[in-house]
Order: sequence, then structure tokens, then C-alpha cells
Amino acid sequence: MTAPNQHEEIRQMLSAYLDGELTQGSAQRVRVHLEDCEECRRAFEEMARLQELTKELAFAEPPEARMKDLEKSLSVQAPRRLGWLFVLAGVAAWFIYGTITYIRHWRPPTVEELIGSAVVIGFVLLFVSVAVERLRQLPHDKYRRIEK
Amino acid sequence: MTATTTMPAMPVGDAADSGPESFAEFFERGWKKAYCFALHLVGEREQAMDITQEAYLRLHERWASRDPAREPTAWLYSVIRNLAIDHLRRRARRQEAEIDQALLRSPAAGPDKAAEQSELAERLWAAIRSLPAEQREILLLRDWHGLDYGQIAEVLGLSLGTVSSRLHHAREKVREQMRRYL
Repeated sequence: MTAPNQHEEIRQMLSAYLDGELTQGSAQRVRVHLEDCEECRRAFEEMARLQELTKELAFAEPPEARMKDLEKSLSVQAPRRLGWLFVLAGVAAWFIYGTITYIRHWRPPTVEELIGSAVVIGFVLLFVSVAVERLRQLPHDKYRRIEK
Repeated sequence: MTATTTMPAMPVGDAADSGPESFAEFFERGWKKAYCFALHLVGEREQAMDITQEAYLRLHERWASRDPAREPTAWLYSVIRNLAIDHLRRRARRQEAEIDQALLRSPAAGPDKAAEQSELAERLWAAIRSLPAEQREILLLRDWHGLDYGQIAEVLGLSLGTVSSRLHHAREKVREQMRRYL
């Protein structure tokens, strides 16, 4: 016959016993007690039944299309980041190489070179202005990666 | 027919056996349950969707720098919970957040048992809904989401003893309400 205080102590352990979260020694104590105590055995069986029923509860399905859009959007983030890295590194290397070449072999530029430089500088300015605008928008648009 | 999300055979916390899991695999196996966790916290579908998306975005940003040996489910759930608390705090209605009874759907069953199981599920969900928020949260994390005590402690920032104690009290309350139907 289990003492009343021990009965209550073991009763408090039934839930953790059900989940397999007790130490080996404590689990053994609960097992032995359950063999003798019908009240605790019934409580344990009811808890186990309720756990099974809870597992089977079915809830509303989330909107799949929206999450699939997010998944697709996330999957392109890594290559996109790598792409930007290559673009920036290439532009920086090109700029450094051009500057060094210009200093080493300076001569008056031809008309063709001046026109070509104007076009390139124009593209660079457009690129920088778009990049700055995008960077300014980033902190305010938390769903920026979600395709609409 | 209404689509539903039920507890899968494998607990959400089980990682794949073969090497570190990719973000895509992690996303695929857990997003429906993650959504339901957010839904259980805020009780509003649209907000739950926003919170789930935001949580995955945050994880994705830090995915490369995570510890691959650590199972990421508790991390995801922590982020969702923090976002949900922020949302409820902003709306100053954490205590009033209601979980809609209509979120529950009829379990998959044959025509004979469907009505009986549906009624039992509704009574059980009503009993779970009646629990205090902190007990309901732990009960669902353990019995529906399949997290172990260590993961629950990490998500909620509690000791293992507190998790065990709250879960026990939650189960006793639900059992008290459900005894006549078992």
C-alpha cells in the first residue's frame, strides 16, 4: 500500500511519465505504483487517450499559395546575393584597373574615348542612384521578398 | 472538402538523418505547423500568416550562421512566439486573444465515426481553449506540435521543472472536463 504523500508525488509525475521525460529510477517508481493504484492507473489511461485525441485535432489549413510564393522567393535569395557580390566586385576591379592605367599611360583622350566615357559614367550614375533608392526602401518593406 | 492540418506521424522536431537539413527542407516539413502555432497564439488567420512569413524570413537571413548541430524547430517557434507577443502587445489585447472555435476542422474518418469523432474533437478543443494561455500553449506544443520538454523550455524560456508542472496541471484540467466523454 502506497503512503498518501507518495501517492500524490507519483500522481504529479504521471504527465512526465506519459511523455517519457522521467529518469529511469523515477519511471520505475511510477510503473510499480501504477500496478497497485487503480485511481492513478485510470488517470494515466485517460491522459494517454486525451494525448492521442489532441494529436488528431485538425486545424484550418494555411493559405498554401501564399507560403509557396514565400518559399520560391526565399530560394532565389542566395544566388541573387552572390550575383550582386560579383557585380560590385567587378565594377570595383574595373574602376581600380582603369584608374591605374590612366595614371601610368596618360595622354590626351580621343573624341571616341570621351564619348565612351560619358556613356559609361552615365550608366554608373544610374546604377548607383537605383541602388541607393532600393537600399533606402529596404528597412520600410518587411515583405520585400514576397512575390505579389 | 475542407483542407486540414493534422499532427504528422513524425514529430516536427525530428531532423533528417542524412546531414544538415537545408532551409528548403526545413521550410517544407514545418511551415503548416508553424502557421498553426502562430494561429493558436494570436487567433487571427491573417495575422498568423504574416507572423509565420516574417519568422521564416528572419530564420532565412541567419540560416548560414546557425549551429547545424542544433535542431532549428525551437528557434523557429521562439521567433514566432516573440512576433506574436509583439503583435498582441501592440494591440493591447493579449489577455483577450480568443482562439476561434471555427479554426478546428472535422478529423478525417469514415462516415460512421465522423460525427462521433467530430463531437469529441469539438469538446476537447473547447476544453483546451478554456485553459489559461500559458497552460494551453504548453499543452499544444507538447501534444499537437510534438516538441519535447527541452524544446518547449527553450521556446518559452522556462525551466524543465516548470514545463513539466504546467503541462501536468493543463492535462489534469482538460481531463477533468473530458472524463465523462472518455
